[in-house]
Amino acid sequence: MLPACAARDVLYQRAARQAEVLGDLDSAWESRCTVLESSSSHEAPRFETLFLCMAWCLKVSDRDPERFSPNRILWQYKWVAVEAPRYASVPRRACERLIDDMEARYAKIGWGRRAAIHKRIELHALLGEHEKAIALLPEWRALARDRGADCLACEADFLVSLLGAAGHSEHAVREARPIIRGKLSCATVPHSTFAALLNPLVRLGRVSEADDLFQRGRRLLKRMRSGGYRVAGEYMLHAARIGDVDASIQIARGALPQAASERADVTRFDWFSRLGTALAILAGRGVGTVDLPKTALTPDGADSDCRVLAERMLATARDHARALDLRNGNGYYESQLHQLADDAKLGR
Amino acid sequence: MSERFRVDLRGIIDLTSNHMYSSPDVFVRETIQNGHDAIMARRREDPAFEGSIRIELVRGDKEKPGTICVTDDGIGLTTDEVHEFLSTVGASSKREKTDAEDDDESSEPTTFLGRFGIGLLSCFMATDEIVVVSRSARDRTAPAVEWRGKADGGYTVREMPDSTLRPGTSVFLAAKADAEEYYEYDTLVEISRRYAEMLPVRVIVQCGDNEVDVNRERPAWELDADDEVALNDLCQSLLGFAPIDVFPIEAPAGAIRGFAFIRSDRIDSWGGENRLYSGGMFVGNRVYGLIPEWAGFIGCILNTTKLRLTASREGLHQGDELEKACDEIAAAIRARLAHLLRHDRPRFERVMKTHDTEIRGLAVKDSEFLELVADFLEFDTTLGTIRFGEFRREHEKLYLARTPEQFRRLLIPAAEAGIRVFNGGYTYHEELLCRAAERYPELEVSSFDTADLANLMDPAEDPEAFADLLEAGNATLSGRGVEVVVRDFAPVTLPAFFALGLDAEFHRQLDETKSEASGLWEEILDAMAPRPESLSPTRLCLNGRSPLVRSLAAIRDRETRSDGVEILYVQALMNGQHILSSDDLAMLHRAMERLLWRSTERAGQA
Repeated sequence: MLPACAARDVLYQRAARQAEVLGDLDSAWESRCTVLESSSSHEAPRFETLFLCMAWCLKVSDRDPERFSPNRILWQYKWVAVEAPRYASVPRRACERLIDDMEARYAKIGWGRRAAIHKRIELHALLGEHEKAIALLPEWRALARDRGADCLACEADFLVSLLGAAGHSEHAVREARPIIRGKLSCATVPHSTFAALLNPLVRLGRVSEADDLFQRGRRLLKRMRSGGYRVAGEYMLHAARIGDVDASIQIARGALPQAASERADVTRFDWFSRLGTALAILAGRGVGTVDLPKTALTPDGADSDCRVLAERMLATARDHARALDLRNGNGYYESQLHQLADDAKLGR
Repeated sequence: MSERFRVDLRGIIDLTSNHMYSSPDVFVRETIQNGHDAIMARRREDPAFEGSIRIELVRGDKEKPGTICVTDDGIGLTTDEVHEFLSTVGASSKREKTDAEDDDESSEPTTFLGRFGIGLLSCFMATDEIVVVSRSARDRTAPAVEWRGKADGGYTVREMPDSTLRPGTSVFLAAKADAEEYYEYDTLVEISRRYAEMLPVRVIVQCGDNEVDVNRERPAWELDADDEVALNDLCQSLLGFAPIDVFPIEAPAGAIRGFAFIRSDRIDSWGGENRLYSGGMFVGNRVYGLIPEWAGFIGCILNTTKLRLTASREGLHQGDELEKACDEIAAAIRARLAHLLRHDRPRFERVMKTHDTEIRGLAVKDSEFLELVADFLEFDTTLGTIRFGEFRREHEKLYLARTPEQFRRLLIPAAEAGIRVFNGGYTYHEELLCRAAERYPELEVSSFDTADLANLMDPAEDPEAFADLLEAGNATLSGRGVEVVVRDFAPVTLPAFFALGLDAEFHRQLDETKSEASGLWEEILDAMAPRPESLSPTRLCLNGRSPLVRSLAAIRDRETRSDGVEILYVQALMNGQHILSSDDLAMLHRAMERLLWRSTERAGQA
């Protein structure tokens, strides 16, 4: 079997379409389930395609649940349910209904409400409603873990990032202790947690602890198999803040092509707001020009002046912030840009 | 009120002896391990002391079971020590020592391998009763002592004041039902050799007049790194292949020494065959977490004198120390490949050819390694195979077909047009090209598909000759969202080229799925859909140079022109290996039927 990679996903999708045309629904189902299961575990998943796979699998499973067991795909539904709100074009009501649908399907196969509540907490966080998200935590904590639950490390990691994003820096650092001490880990933890802790630690004035996590996290990031670019932004920003110009530019170069090909607004906002802020800090430190890989945002002949690039990236982030805030009915993402600019002054 | 746990001794013994290990044969390892540790303890008191372990087998017959006696001339035990260490589950003379050593960095934990003091219980997998006879070398006045333990937790201790036994320990095991296979000489030699061949203590297996010394002359990690013959033999005998290359590995974080061997054969799965030893004792051949996941093309024979083992001693305790050791091993492998690249190019090429996918997988995950090999990676393009380095030195734009289908569709017309398009459809090729290009900001990687190629094709030289054909074609295909155009392109043998961009292809799939999805998912997919105005146009490019197309354009009958375009459309789909829908096939059949009908009708009229 081929290792998990973009080429394998394409092959399975092709196989699924071919099988469907030939009327071989079992093979089509098998191929699409394989794409769902594997494509989140490599470097170049095509997220939109996964929505197609999920929609198709739910459709055939609903028609014949005996033959196409929902158990096979419902684990991945959790992922889809919190990926959809990352697109500003998906209406807020549809995001909420997606989680309701997930909860109903989980109940049908005997899984509890815990996962659905967790996804609602995540949805509130993505919508910029952190206090609403935090208010749901007691209800979530009161329920026993069941088959639908994320791994302990992932749950702890999310809690840390939620608290950090909500401005509860001390609480976030406290919750992260088991992860920092190596008691909890998984495929994406601790490097994602370390990234989420950098800003809270700097806000608390614990810069040397942040630097320690920065070093450890970067080492782990290099070994990461997938999705590294989604958390790389925090490391890039921190590197700029502590004056490690080379590291900051290196991370930017490494992750920009993937980030530029992303379509999800939240992911693009996260990345470009941090890249723009990092470049602004570097410009302030006297960096004149930066050579970034050529992308739609850095086309041929584009200015490589650090300050100009910073403005362009921040403008891109602002576009996404506006679209998201319009959908969410608040000003969270725009306010984040100001917050990032304020935080940039810390720890220098 | 504070209470104490109650412990079911029989259950604990059953758990530790029957359920902790992956194979019953570990009882051989555990008895050898105990003997080794005892000899090491005696060597501490007398550094000149050599010591040895003798495993004696008496074959069984119908009357009596076979027996194994493992004898060492190590430090031995007094009666008090027997009570303390053999009869208390979880206690071990070795553990006390090791914990002390943990605090004292100058000590050598290497000499004490056992940490748990429960290893002896594994003998209950092969016997119903363990008999230990021991005499202390520390206290020569102490009498010999016999300990008999049973699987139910009962034991007896008996002093033997008249015994003339020499200092050391013997463990007697009588075969229990279903464990007779371990009381065969060849089996016992094989197991003993596997576990103990690298031990720094002599181990002899004996049965009657047969006697074999299982130790190698030197442990693998002590071999001379330049002795290629010995190392090749070692690899062949322990890992089962002749290596392309051998190099030493040292990982100070785990106090690891040994050799790595690059396989000469391709393997299907990730994670190769690696033999790990701890203090010379075999631990396992696929120990998790030590060798980087990408290094399936490597086989290793390694010894650690520091990394902590799990309770069963078949794996490594996960933690920071192991992670660092794994990083060091990864660095050593990278360094070797870099060395080959610079100093032994033919061997490097052989490694690349044999382990193409694995090497590419490594390069995707490891930016330092990618930097090293990027220029040497070969890629399929529409103009033949080319090395990345050769290409990037002369070009600023890299066209990438992101799926094998797009590449196949582009192959001939792009080659004819002299456009080099890279095939990103093979495993890791797309990821590698994007990552490799990151190092060269002046190099732009652009996705390239059939729609892009259609945009580069020249319009027909004499467009007026095709006006009627285009009118008929667009009328028949516009319902399918296809625009018919005439372009001049090579080869002339290709009458039509179907240009469907990746984005439009995705949009088509999305429409198909959406049409059958539930209300909620229809809404979600709608929101995901790219804006129609941003999509590249889907075109059927008729070849203005093709004699077939020119003949079709010259036909006066509009219906025949229309049928001709429909046939060319389906033919273009087939050329591009598109998946034909039942609609497409029906269109082809109807068009051919009409053509046949008209031709026979005309023939009839004639």
